[in-house]
Amino acid sequence: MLRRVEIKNFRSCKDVVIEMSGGLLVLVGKNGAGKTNLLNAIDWAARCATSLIAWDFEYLRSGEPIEVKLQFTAESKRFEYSVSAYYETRVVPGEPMTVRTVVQEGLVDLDQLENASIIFSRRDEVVIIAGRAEPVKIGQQSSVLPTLATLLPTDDEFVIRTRSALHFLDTLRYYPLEDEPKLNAEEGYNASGLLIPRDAYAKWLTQYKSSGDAGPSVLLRLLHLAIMNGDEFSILKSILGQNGLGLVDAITHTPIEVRRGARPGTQDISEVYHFLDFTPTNAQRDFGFRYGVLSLGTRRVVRILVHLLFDHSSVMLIEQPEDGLHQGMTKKLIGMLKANAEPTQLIISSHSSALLNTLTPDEVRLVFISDGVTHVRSLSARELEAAAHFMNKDGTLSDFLESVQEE
Amino acid sequence: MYGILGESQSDVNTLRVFVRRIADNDLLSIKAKGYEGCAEMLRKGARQLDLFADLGCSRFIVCYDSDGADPATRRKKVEDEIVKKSSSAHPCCVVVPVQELEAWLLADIECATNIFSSWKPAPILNPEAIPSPKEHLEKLSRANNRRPRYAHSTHNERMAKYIDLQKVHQACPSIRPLFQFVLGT
Repeated sequence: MLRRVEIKNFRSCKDVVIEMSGGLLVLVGKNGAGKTNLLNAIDWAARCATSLIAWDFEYLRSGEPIEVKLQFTAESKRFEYSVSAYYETRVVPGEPMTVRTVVQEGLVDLDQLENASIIFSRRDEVVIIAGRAEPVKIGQQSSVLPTLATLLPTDDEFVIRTRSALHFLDTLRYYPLEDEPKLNAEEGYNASGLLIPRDAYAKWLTQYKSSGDAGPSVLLRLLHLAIMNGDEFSILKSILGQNGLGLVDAITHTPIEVRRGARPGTQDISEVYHFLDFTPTNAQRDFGFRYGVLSLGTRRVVRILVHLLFDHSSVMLIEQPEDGLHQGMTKKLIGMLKANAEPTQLIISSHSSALLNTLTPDEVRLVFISDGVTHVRSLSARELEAAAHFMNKDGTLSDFLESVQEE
Repeated sequence: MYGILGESQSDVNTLRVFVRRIADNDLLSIKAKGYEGCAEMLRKGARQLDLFADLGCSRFIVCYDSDGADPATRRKKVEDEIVKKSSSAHPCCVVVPVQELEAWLLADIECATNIFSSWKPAPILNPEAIPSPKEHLEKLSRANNRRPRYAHSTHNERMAKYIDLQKVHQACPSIRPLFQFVLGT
């Protein structure tokens, strides 16, 4: 679980600290306050920690380092990962300009008194590992944890010591919930497809098993859950079904062989497709719908739940889960997420009063911007007391938060 | 710190600008709550004033459009339903614009040119006599198929930044209690 995040110089987040203690945290603030920047900063740091090729230039600046620290617990151990990066340019007359990233990383473990023991520290290509006399050199563009996890034996002390931290950071994920990308037309289908070629699924599965990266497709994840027909698929159907959210009565998977006529004199071409069929609750026909023609709101709920059940993320950073949802459905969805998310931690940005009214005041962080700088704070002791009085008189948390949000 | 209640978010945002300008203090702390109409404000306003007090507000302003009704009756309604039912003893100014708050903006409509450079409206001598000032303001902005057009939810508070306060004070008696309250006169 993330416990503390410190961000410096990441877009509008010049110097931000967020403390958290529970499984759910909601960022509330006006448009442009910096909520997305906060989520992006956390995601960026986790990607820096775990990508074999990292250092996204999109965020880096010349000369001014972005610094992010993530303090978290993983398998009962407490860690702090820190990363700092910027780029510098070098201009020599008559030669092309060169650009170089300057990187520092570090991982410490923390005891109960918050005393830190260094596990490793890295500056550019040189990594100093605690307990080793000689530093290790890695590529400038590589991250320490996955690089050394790949190079060192699995019973190496460093690998054992950092395994849970690497897993935590590797499974910390950002979900902007934008429109799903259209998949490669050559694959024979797109994200809303009725029929998914067997070969396309097989290729995805190979990629997923070898790299752990399931890519962006919700449909392929869902297909996999349906084919495996295990606990996660049952849970998904139960949550979506009539005894749950009441959105989708059934999800049916059927392999179909399609024969297509080939050129004269040659044999017919036979291809196997996976057919994934949804029956929305209250649908007025006997057969189902393909994923792409489900309503925006239903698809959104399906996406969030599939990601929750398939990805097993340590932390899900979710933008505005309420978009496209009726207020009543928003409340139910958040209730379902709270009930089913653990051990996944949810950090959500939201504008929805329906969502806010399902929370307790300590689950909220106010985000506001002043002179172009994002600030984050929890409710003060006075505000918490005022909230309790207000809500005791049937006031809502969303109404209360309107009164304490900065202009 | 001030706490302001109004029938809409647009009204309280506009009042916030007016209060700061009257007080000549851009940094004046103000909390504000706009409702979805007068019924909600009358129902929940007392509770909101108590919340404002808990959050440190010591002066309240409640704005209730008269919408053609007798302003004195409106004022009494606010006092009975909100002020008296609140447990806070802090001073509270009840402001009742004749018709609607937009009448105050019509008092210096020429300042709209600061927001819409191609719009040069003629002065309006008696803004509180216009039956639906919000509609009138938006209709004036649509003349000659001009775009962009005035939208009260966005532009009221923008206009308030440029309004000549003396003109409004002179043309709209209904705003004078607000001046008196903020200036302590």
